Amino acid sequence: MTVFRLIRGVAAIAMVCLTGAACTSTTAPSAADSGIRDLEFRTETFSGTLQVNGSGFYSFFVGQAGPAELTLAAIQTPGGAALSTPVGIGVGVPSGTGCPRTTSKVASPGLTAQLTVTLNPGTYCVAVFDAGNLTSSVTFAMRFRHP
Amino acid sequence: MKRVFRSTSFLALTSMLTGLSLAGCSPLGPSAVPSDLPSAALTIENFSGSLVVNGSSFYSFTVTEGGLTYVSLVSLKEAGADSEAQVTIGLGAPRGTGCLTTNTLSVGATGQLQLSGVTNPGVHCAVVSDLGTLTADATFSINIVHPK
Repeated sequence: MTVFRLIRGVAAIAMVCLTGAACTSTTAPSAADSGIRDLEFRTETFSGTLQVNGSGFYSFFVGQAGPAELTLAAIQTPGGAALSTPVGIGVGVPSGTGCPRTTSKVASPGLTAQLTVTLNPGTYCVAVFDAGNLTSSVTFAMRFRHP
Repeated sequence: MKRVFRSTSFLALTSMLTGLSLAGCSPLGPSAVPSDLPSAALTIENFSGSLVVNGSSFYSFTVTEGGLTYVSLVSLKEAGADSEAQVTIGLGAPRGTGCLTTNTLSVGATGQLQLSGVTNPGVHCAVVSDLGTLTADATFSINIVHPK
């Protein structure tokens, strides 16, 4: 009977130790453990000349699903004078000789993103186009950040 | 209209493959015959345009099933006349303002399937470039045969 009590006591102590050990060794699941990767973003720039009624596009690859931000940073005269003329910007998938847009808007140049879209992995394009406001060719600078 | 296009596409593919078979240079190897290619699973796209001296022009297309894609230069004309000049055709992926090629070939306008490459599902591009052989601005036509 005494031996039985002794064994039961040792077992109880062992359980406490094990429980304690389990509690102290538990850590919050890391991103690596869960298979979730932190999104890595890449920033690219697209600049050029936009003709009256014209358009241009730039293709890029998205490796991870996530948000892409498009910023029309500047519109200028060929001589370099800043303009606030709104032009069209958009995102699409390259097809044929162009970039059919799935999302677009008319925006004036600014410092913050004017267009944000969520993209799955794949090849996409950003486009800039004259929305009918240009009376002569301009230069543009666009910045976009994507996963 | 769609039916006409399908018929035209089928005829074009059949013509190209028959031509290759007769020439003994099937894209699928010596034992391949036209019937080896499941034409229903292929799409033919034509890309025609202008090519300036030392210029380049590309065309993007989407593949939903992996497989081999073939490109052929069907015609090349300089100043309106048939040209025997060699230009470069290529396959790649649209990047930046161009087509980042993974394989290229210098060819003349024979109409045969000249360049092939494996295309996985996704967006790809075919490009035609002049590396200095054109003496005048040209017009061209290329056919792209790719899996659907």
